[in-house]
Amino acid sequence: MTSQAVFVLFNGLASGMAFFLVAAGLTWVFGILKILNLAHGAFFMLGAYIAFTVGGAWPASIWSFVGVALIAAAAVGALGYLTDQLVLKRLRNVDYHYALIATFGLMLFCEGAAKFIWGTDYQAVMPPPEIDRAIVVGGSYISLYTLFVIGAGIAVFAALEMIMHRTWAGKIMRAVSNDPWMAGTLGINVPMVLMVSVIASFALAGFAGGILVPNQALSPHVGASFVLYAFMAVVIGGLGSIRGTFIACILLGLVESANATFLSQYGGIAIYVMLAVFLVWKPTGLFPAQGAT
Amino acid sequence: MLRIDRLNAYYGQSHILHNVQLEVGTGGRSSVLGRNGAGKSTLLKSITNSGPRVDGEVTFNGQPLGQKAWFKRAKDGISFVPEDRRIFTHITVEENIELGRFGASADRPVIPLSQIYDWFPMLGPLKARLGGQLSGGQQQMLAVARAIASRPRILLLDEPTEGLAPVIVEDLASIVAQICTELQITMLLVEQNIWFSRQTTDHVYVLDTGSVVFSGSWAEFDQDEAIRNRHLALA
Repeated sequence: MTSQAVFVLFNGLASGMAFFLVAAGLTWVFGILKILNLAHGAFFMLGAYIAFTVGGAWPASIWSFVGVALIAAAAVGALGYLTDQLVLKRLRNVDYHYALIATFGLMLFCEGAAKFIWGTDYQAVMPPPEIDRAIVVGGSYISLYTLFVIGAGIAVFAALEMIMHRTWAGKIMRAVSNDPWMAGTLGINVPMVLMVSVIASFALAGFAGGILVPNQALSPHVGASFVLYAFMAVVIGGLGSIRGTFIACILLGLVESANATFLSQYGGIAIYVMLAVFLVWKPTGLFPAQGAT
Repeated sequence: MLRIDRLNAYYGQSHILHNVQLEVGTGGRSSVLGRNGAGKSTLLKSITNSGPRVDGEVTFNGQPLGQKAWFKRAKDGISFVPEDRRIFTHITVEENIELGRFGASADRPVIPLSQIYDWFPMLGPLKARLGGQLSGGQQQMLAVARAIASRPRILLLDEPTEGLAPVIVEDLASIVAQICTELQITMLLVEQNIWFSRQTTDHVYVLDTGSVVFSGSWAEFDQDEAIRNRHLALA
């Protein structure tokens, strides 16, 4: 029983942090642009493919693995700049329905591009050798890669919290998020802040792709399952709240993991129950922020 | 300092301002009086290009502003305190003031915080408090403090006395007059409170349904009873 509980706990945390790595950029861009980027998962997928192309299927070490993830982050961040100039910039002052349609189209385009470049065959990437083994914790085998993903999620959360609450860049971003008109009236270059936020959000998606690609069947649809959980987490957390999204991801991960272990005949049902409960209990989310927080 | 020539402003199909002519000289201080809906706020938002569609010429500090984006105008030295104050609620009083510094430039260095707390003694003890935890009067003081932190050339004030207790209105009038005098700031004030306008400005415009119907000194304004009766519903 204890070993099972330990297994559920670590697996749940790892799933939760994986969801968070994807959801962080999603909630950030929603908080500041008020655009729900349906293509976020597709850019996560591109990050995974870029990491696969740059680093190969067998990463040499944990350092080169992280380095490759950072390259994927930079590459997808650059794609974010292009996307902003070509698509998102045009959506700033139009009804949000257009943004949903446009980003959905963007998602289809990215998946098509990935099929064109990498084909539809499944690819696989191994975890780096140092963490490609398991240790025994409380009678349960936990892979080191699982612990690594948990650490990566916490690190990204801590970094975002630091930036948002302790630095001027964060305060400016939150000011633009809360009241772009007033921020601009004070002389803050609002279009530039929005552009930087988009690039950062995309870079986060690319980084998540590079970090999470091991143990996945890499295909042009690899983003779909992650992004579904990420959307749930963003809704439960309070649209635009990084803190809320973090907590929601942990809850989703733990609930999903417990569901898979203790109620495996009803796989996946618990998170939908949880989502329904939250929508009734706290329809505006755990941290109903006025903007990114 | 500020010259407005044949200014027309529109919100969608509504034509709000009609051929407005207005001028405020360097260091001068003018009021624009008018009823609700006369177009006073629209006038200020036309100067900052932050709302209506605008036609006509706004010349500031010798430069025509044209269609320059609203967020670039603070750097030229235009500081705008909107009617609803728009204090950032997620950061502290002091951080709000610091955000006001973005409009500063090499020839207009930021005003030190200590100087601002000297002018606004009410804000010093509140500096660590969040913007969302202030009373209306405190918010208004902060809005003005934030607007002058960049040492602007011109201060645009939109009905600063609205909803304030009379004692706060008196404080605000003397603070605004003092700062504008000490820093040589030009001011354009939009108000319904004639007492406040008289305390802080030396020239009056009256705006009615989007047109300037009077321009003169306070003495001329006082002599022209017809203007007051016809265009200002004075309570």
